[in-house]
Amino acid sequence: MLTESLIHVGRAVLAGSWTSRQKLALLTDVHADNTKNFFQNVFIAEYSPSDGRVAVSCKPVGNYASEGRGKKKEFHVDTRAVVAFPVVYPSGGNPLLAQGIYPFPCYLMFDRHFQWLGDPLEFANSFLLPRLRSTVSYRSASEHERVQFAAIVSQAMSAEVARKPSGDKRLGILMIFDPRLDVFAYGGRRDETGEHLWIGESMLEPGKHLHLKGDIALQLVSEARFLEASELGREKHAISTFTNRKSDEVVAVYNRSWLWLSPTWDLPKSIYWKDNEWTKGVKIDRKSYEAFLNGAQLIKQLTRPLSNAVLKEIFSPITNAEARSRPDKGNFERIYGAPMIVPLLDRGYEISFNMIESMLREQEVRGRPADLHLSTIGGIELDIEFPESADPDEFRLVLLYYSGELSRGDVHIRALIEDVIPSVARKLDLIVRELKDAVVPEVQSKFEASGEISYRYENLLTLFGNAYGPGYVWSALRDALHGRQLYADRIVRATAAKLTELAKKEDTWGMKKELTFLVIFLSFLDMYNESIRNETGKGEDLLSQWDELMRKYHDGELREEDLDSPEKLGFVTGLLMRQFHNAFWAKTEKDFLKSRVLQFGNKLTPDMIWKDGVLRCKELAIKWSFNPGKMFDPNYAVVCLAFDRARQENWLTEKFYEFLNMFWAGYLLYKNPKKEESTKGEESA
Amino acid sequence: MDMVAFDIRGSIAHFRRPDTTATHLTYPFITPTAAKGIVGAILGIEDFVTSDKVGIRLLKPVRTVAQQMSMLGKESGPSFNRPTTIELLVEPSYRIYYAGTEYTSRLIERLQQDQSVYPTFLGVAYALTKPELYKVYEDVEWLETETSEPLTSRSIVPVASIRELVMDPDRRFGRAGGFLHEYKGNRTFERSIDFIYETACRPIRFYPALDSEGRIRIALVEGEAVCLF
Repeated sequence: MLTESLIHVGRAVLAGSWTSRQKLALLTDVHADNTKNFFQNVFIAEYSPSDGRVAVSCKPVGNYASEGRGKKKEFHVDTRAVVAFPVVYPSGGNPLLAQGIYPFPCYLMFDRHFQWLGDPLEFANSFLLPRLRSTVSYRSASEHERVQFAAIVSQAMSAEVARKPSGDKRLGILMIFDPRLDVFAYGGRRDETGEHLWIGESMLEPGKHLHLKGDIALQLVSEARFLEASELGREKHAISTFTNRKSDEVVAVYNRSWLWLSPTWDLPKSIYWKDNEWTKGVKIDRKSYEAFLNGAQLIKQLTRPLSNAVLKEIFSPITNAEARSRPDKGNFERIYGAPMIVPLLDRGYEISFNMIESMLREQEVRGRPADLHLSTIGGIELDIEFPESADPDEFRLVLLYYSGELSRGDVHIRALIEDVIPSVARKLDLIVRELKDAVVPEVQSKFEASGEISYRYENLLTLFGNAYGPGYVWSALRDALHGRQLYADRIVRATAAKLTELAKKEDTWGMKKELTFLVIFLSFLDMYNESIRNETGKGEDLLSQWDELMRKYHDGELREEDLDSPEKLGFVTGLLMRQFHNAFWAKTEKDFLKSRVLQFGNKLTPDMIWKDGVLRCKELAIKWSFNPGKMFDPNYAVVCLAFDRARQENWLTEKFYEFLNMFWAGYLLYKNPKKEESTKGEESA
Repeated sequence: MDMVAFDIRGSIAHFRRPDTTATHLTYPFITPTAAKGIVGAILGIEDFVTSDKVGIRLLKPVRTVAQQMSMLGKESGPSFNRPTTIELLVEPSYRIYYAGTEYTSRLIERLQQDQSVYPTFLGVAYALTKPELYKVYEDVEWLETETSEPLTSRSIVPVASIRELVMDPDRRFGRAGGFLHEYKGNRTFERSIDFIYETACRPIRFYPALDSEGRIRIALVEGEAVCLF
C-alpha cells in the first residue's frame, strides 16, 4: 500500500536526528506559501491565571523588503521564528469556521475575524469559543471555563485591534499564551536552543520570555491529527493494520487531513460498513499514524512538478513530425513527481532517513557530488546521497507521479514505480549523463548539428517519450528502472514514418534531427543492455560502421559481404542514390528521388527504392548521357547483388523500417570526397 | 496435514490497493485474501472465513499497465460518468498453495472434478480465471524451528518470516507491502502482511525467523520452502 510506504518514510523521520523545531515545521504549514501573509499580524495574548489579566501584543514575524528600487515592499517571513506559531491551513471547507482539531491555542485569523473584533462578544462566540472547544489542550476544561476564558481574551484582543489602523484583507494569527498549559513555559532569557521555541517577551512579567516547548507541541500536533482521523471510525483495544499488534485505540486511515485518502471521491468502502465503521478496513494506531503524518508531509516537501520542457517531450505525438513541432505548450496537464525511500526489510530507518534528508540538501551544503540524480532518471529535480556505512541496495526507491489538485483530493496517479534498486538507478543515471556528455555531441556533429540544444536527451522520460510515444512513457520507465528488456521497434517505425513525411517537404534539417535522435537512442539501448542487463550489444558503433562503409564506398573496396544486414544495405543504397542524384541534378536540375521515386501521394518503400531508384540508374544515365561519378559502377554492382540477397531473405518487407532509416542516413551523409577535400584545402589556406 | 497446489492465470488482473481513492492502483500480485476468496468461490461459500493458510508463487514476472476507464456512478444518476485511471496486471500467473484442516480435502475434491460453484476471477469480475489443479501433497513436512542453513523458496516470503535475506548478486528483490491479511467475515479485515519476492520469479534464499506468535509457517515441498500465511 502507498500508506505503508509513507509509514516507512515517517518511521525514518522519527528515527532520524531532526529537532522538534524541524519536525514541527514539517507537520504544520508554517513554511507554506498560503500562510505567509498571516505572519504579518501575530497576536500574542498572554494570560495571567493569578489575576485573570490578559495582555495582548501584535508583531509581524518577518520583515518587509523591496526586491528592487521602486518596487512595492513585500513581506518575507522569518523562517526560523515562525515555527513557534505552528498553524495548519484548512484544506477545504469554510476557513472562517473552526475546522478540525487544534493542538493548542494558536489560530489563523481571516479578515472577517478582525471585523468581529468590533464586538468582543461576537468574536468570543463566533471565533474563539468554537476553537477552544476543538483544542486538545482545553479538552479537559469545562464549558463554563471556556466561555469565561473566551470572553476575557476577546475583550483584550478587541482593545488591541481597536488601537491599530484598519486595512483591507487583514490576515493574522492569534496565539494565546496560557501558562497553565504544559506546552508553554516562561524563561529568564530568550532560549532558542534545545527544545524551546521563542514566542516573544512577556508583557505581564517584564524581563521574562515566552516559549513553546517543542517536544510537547509535537505530541499535541500528533494528538490533534489523530483525533481528526477518528471522524470515520475509531475502536478501542483493536489490532492495528500496520503493526499487527493490539493498540489502546485505532482510527480509520481514511480522512480528510491526508487528501490522498480523502473519502470525498470514489472509495473502497464496503456497502456493509456504516459511515463511521471504516475501521473494518484499514485501521491505524497512534504511533503509526504519527509516522504516516510525518511521511506524508515529507513527501509533500519532496514533491516537484515536472518541467514544461519535459512534459512537451513526453506528450508530443511521435509519429507525426508536423504535430510534434507545434505542440500546444499550455495544453499539458501539470504532473508532479515524488520520491520515497523504503527499507527492503523492516530495519535501517536511520540510514533511509539520511538518504531522504540528503534530497532536501543543496549541492553546496552537501559538499560532494550526489550519487543519484533523480532529474536524470525521472525528471524530479532532487539528488540523493548514498550512505557510506551501508549498502544502498538494502533500500528501495519508489517514484510516484500524479496529476490533479491535491488540495481538493482530486489526485490521479500516473505511475507508481516501486522496488527500484538504487544501484540500478545510479547506473541509469550514469548512462544518461554519458549519453548527454559524449554521445549526443558526437552524433550531432556527424549530422552537422553541433551545439543544438534539445530536451530530448534530458532524462529517461524525455528519451522514452520521443522514442516510444506518450502512451508508453511510464511503462518504459518502469521497465528500465526494473532492468527489463527495452525494445527499439517502436522508435524505428516512428522514425521511418517521420523521415518519409519530412522528405516530402524537403526538410533536410528535420530529417537530420530525427536520425540524430534515432542513433542516440540506439546507443542508449546498447549502453543499457551492457550495463544493466549484462548483455553485450551488437558490438558495433553505428557511426564507426558508417565511416567504414563510406570509406570503402569511396575507395572502391566495397564487397557484397560488407552488406550483410538490411541496415548496411540501406545505408549504402542511400549513398548510391545520393551520388546518382548529384549527377542527375547537374544534368537535369531535377531532384532524382522526388521526380522519379517519391511520387506524390506515395510513401517511400524499400521496394520503390529498388525498382524505381536503383534499377533505373543505368537507363537514365544513358538516356541523359552523364557519368554518375567515380566508383559509382563498382558500388552499383555490389548493391545490385546485395539486393538479390535482400529479396531472398525478405529484408525489403520484414526489415522495412530499418532499411528506410539507414537509407536516409546514407542519403543525407553522402559527401563527394573531391569537394570535401577542396573545401578542407580552402579552409586551411 | 495435506496441501494442494493449483494454478490460476489470466490476461489481466486487478487487486485494488485499498488506500488509493481516485486512482485505482493494484497490488503487484494476488493478495492472500483474494487467493482465499477464490477457494471460497470454488467451494461455494459466500463469506469465506477460514484459519487455513495459503502460499503464493509467481509463475510470471509482474507486469502492469495503466488504462483510463469510464466509470459510471451509482449515486449521481445514470448519466454520471468519470474517467478513472486503473492499473492492471498483465498476464498474471500464480500457483496457489492451500493447506489446513478445514477445507483442504473439499477443495482437492472440487479441483479434481474440475468444478467451481461460483465464477472465479482475479480481483475484478472482468478478469475471469479457471483454477487448474497442479498437485496434491500428502503428509507435508513442516519446518518447526529456525535453521542454520538458508532455505530456498520460489514462493513469496513474508518479511516477518525472514531473519536474514541472502543477497545473491543475480537476484532482484522486490518488496510488496501492506496486504490485508486476515478476513474476519462481513467485509472486516485485520492485520497486514508484507512480502519479499524475486522480480524474475527465481528462487530466494533466506534464513527463517519465528513469527510474532513464535511459530514458523513454512512447508517443505520437493526440497523447497513454501511460506504459508
